[in-house]
Amino acid sequence: MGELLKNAFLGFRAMNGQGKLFAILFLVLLLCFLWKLGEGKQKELLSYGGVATVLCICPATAVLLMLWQTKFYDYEFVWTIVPLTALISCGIVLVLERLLSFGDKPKQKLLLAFFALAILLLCGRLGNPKWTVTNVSAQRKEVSAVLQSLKTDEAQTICLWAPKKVMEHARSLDGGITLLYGRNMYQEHLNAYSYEEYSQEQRDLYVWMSLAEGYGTLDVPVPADLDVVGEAPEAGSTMEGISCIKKALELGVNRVLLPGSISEESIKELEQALGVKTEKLEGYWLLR
Amino acid sequence: MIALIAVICFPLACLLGNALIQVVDAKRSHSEYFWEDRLLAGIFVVIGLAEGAHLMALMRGRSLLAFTKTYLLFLIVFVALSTGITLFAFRRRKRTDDARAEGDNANARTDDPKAGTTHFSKALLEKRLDKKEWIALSAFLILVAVQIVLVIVRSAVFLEYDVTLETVVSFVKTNALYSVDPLTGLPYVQGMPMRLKILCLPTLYAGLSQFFGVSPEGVVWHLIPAITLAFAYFADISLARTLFSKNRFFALCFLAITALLVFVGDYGYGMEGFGLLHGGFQGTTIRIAVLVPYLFSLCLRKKYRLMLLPVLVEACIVWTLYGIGMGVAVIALFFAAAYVRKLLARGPKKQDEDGKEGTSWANS
Repeated sequence: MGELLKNAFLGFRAMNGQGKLFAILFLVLLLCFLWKLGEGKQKELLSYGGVATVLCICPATAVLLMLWQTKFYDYEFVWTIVPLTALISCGIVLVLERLLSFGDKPKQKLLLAFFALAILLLCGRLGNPKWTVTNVSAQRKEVSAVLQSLKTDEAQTICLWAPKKVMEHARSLDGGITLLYGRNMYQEHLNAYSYEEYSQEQRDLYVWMSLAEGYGTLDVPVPADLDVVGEAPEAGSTMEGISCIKKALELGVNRVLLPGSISEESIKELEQALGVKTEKLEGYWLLR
Repeated sequence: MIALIAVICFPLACLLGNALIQVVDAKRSHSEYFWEDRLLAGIFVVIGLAEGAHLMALMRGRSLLAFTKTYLLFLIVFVALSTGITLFAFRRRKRTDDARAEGDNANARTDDPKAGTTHFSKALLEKRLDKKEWIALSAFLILVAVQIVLVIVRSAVFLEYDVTLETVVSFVKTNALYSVDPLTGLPYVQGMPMRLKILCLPTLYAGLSQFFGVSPEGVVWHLIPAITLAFAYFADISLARTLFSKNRFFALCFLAITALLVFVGDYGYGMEGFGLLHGGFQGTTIRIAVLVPYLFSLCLRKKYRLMLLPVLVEACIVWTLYGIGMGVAVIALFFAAAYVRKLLARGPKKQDEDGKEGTSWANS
């Protein structure tokens, strides 16, 4: 029963997660149109809002606006020209003004206000959009501790290769660290910020690290549904951990953090093959 | 330290903005501009100066420290100029008022129908708030306070489309602008687009971090979003005052609903609320939450001279089409809509004469 309730709650939250403010915008514009609400500057704003909304929805004009704002920004930013929040607020106030003029029934007015407020509150997540944004404080603390442990020789610049979680925050936590690849390896749209490109070797190393984290082994099979930027390794083939680590060292990496999920036997095998020592560090294997 | 920077920021913006408004529109600077106009104009000057110093450092290949020094110099010069202009304007206004008092025309200015906005701002301060106004104001202030606290305390930042923090960290660490790829820390081989390089926000944040000794994370993820949030509400206050100049309760309701909508609208990337709560340091957030609402306020009040400011600021902080950003589109569209509205308003009159009814709310 508890599970059912949880699913229902989460399902509802997932459903109301997208696009509800636009519904309110249309409702407000419609009510303002039908009831002929607003005067002077309010009407100017509403009429502008109506025209701008149509321009953003109509594909032909939306394309023109996207060209205007340069193709660097996504479609969402076309809506910059629509003062969405101000329009909705203005519309709601005008509707409220009309409703308040409907005679003197305080209880009904109060009920109506609560009802309107409830509708509004159910339209979003009130500062907690969990599927796109999380509080990264704890994660960053963890990564910061790892990075601190890596620093032994101040004179040497660290070039790090580590699982995604560490790589994601390493550069923003310590500007002195260099990485084998950055976030733009898997967040492709970040490539718009520079002309730099990754070699296929770097891409393969990223794939190996991601798969090794999941499989918990050094030698990892390449799945058929691998979704990566650039040329993917052949599906069904096996990527060998030892050769990948050798390749990374050749590329200039001097600190390798391996996922803690890799078994101790595999790590011993690696130590023998490469002649290196490893130690356990905050849930990762550090190659020394 | 964050509080100190915020405390410095607001009076500085007010002083610079006041001087700018005096220069741009001296005749009406006192009667038709609000305190939030001064603050917003001031922060636009602050950004403009940062852009100037940034371009100087970038073109000459100079260090971050050189940028910070140049920027400080610019600020000192502009603060001195602004103080002079403000004092001069104050004295001139006093002289004018005295002359009016002597000529038994002391009330001439307040009787001026154009000074209606001043009446309202005076009324805002002088007339006591009634119960329902208190409720609306309290709701607005509580929501804003909660949002500012959330932005300062949490690190709930949307990272996927952004490299600002890495860029700022790189600037501070290398003491140079765009010398290394912020995502890897390795020197650039191919480089980066010039159109992004000329944008000043990362350099401004790095300069603040370096000068005040605050961590780049503190500046980028906490301080700047809190300031952006505050200035977004200043723009909304300006808009509320413009739209509901005759009714203070509805103006306060507008603000309370706006603050609530910021919370409600944080469900998706690209929404104003989402930007303010999870990416207030981004140029696109400043554009959608501060520049565009303020531009609407200026368009509605027909303050043509000041309209250029948000348009210029947009070109300094967001990748635009050779400097022509969405601000220009907003202005063009606004006046096009006004023109269409005028045309439609003429149409139904003729129709009415013919015995037909006009249907659009936009044309009455």
